[in-house]
Amino acid sequence: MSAVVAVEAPLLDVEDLVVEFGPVRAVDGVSFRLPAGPYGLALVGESGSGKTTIARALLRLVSVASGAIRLDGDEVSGSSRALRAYRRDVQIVFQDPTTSLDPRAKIGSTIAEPLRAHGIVPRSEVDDRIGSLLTEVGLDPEMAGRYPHQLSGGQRQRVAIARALSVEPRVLVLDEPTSALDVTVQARILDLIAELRRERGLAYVLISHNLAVVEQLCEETAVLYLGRIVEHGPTEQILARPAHPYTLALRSAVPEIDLAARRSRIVLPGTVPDPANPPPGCPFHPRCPYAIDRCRAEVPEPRAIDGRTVACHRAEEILAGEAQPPPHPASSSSRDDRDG
Amino acid sequence: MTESKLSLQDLRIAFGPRIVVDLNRLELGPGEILGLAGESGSGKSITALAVLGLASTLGARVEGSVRLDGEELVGAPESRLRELRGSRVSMIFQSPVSSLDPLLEVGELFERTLRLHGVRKREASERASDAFREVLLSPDLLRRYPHELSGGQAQRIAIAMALALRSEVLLADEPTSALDVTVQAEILDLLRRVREERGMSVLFISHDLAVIAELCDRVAVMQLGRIVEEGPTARVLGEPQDEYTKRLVAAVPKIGAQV
Repeated sequence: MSAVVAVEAPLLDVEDLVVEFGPVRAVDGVSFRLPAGPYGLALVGESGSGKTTIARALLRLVSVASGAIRLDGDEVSGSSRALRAYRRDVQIVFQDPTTSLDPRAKIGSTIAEPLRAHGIVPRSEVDDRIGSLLTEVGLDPEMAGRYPHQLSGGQRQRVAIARALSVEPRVLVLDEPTSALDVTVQARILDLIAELRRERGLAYVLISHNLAVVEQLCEETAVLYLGRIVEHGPTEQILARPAHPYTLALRSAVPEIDLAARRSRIVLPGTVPDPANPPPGCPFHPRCPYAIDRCRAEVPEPRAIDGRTVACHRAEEILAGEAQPPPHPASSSSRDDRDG
Repeated sequence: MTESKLSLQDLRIAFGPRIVVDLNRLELGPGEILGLAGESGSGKSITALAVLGLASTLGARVEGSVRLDGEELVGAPESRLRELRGSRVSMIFQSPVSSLDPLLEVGELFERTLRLHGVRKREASERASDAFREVLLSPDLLRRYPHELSGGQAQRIAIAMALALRSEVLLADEPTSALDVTVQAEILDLLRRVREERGMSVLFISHDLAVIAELCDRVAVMQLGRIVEEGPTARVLGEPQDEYTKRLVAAVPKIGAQV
């Protein structure tokens, strides 16, 4: 596999995406390509890394400052007709199914709405289609007559998935689809996504802060920090041998049930910096245990190393396990800068 | 066995005819971190609320025994329970921002709470600043309102409140479930340290066995209000005996074996 995961004719092509909110650059030059399914691309990072903003930009729910989002090579224009078609092709499932479903609508009408709006099936077949969609996501078709509050969190998330699938989208954006759920329910939803991927040949962008969730479902992973991709490549490679110190830290933060598999944790001092006022040099340097003078001055460009791209001056040393924290590490144990 | 800090025996909690907790015995030792694992609806949270005498405010009927250092809390007068809440037993919740009063600056909240427990004004502000340093937060945050805090900061503040009150037992109800994995890891570190340095006993409630594996000395697995398995964490999670425990263990997302 070549350095940047090679894609012949991408289904979705995101190029140099920039999203700004006033003075804040929430997404700062993000590029990735999603091939036709079955395929999963993961966007991983903490709160504030820009992953949800990317999801919203993909759905055209926020305006894009610069860069391009292309579906089948065509850039989506702003005309309402083009947007309507695009939003049929690209669907989203949100983190919290409690707030993403209309509490006053029965499940059946929640799913019927997009079916009718996009004229997916003749009116007479709507009920049948609702039943088959509910069955497909592992729910009893009888659920169509219930309200969201009568369902469990896992069931509601299945409904949200059924609704997203109802218009036969070509790309599914899954924004932390299991973060609000119990671990057992989470496992079943992940199984469902894997099954839909097989059956429907789905292509999806999965957003998560948990690398363990990503591994089972995504061939490719992009790690985000402060609106930029810091490491990007095949999931297996990135998880087995992270080349960016931030990926290392994220990897080490995943709780391990297996004591033998436990690795020493890398504690990151402080929090994600204020994107309105990003630090000079590498945006990660204030929290990076390996930061040297160069990191404070010079923004690292993404480079192809060992089958992935990585934006770190010391990636080779990190990969080789040779990187040593500098003598006076930036990572003192004090976390007084948390409020900064 | 040394004397338990907190001891629950034959605890039954019911809403009307529906028994939601039916628990033979659960003991939390001094300086111990005990995990209480189970899914939503298994009765974990209501058990913790019953310890504080708060389950009945939700309309639950509580029978049996909850002892703190030997003192019976079930049926104790409300005035006595109010004394114990905070000063002896504190609780932190899943959603840390909404567990703080949104109308009060954090410092004001600390001062009011400490003064309710009989701490003088000057000492209250000293204790608040000390507790903030202990949880690695800048005392500057005392001048913030809850909505100005991140989830991780708010959870640290909730823990700082327990420290400032000199609580001996911390009931932690899914305190990291709403947080990023990196922030979760920091909160787990903090709880470990609080146990080491203060000898605090912690009842840690979670649905995530991986988190429990990281933190807890022992674990009790709860299903439909009953403890189905209990023991040292490494044993219970390494060689689960009960079918339900096995299912919970299998559900934990793991990063592959190639690592």
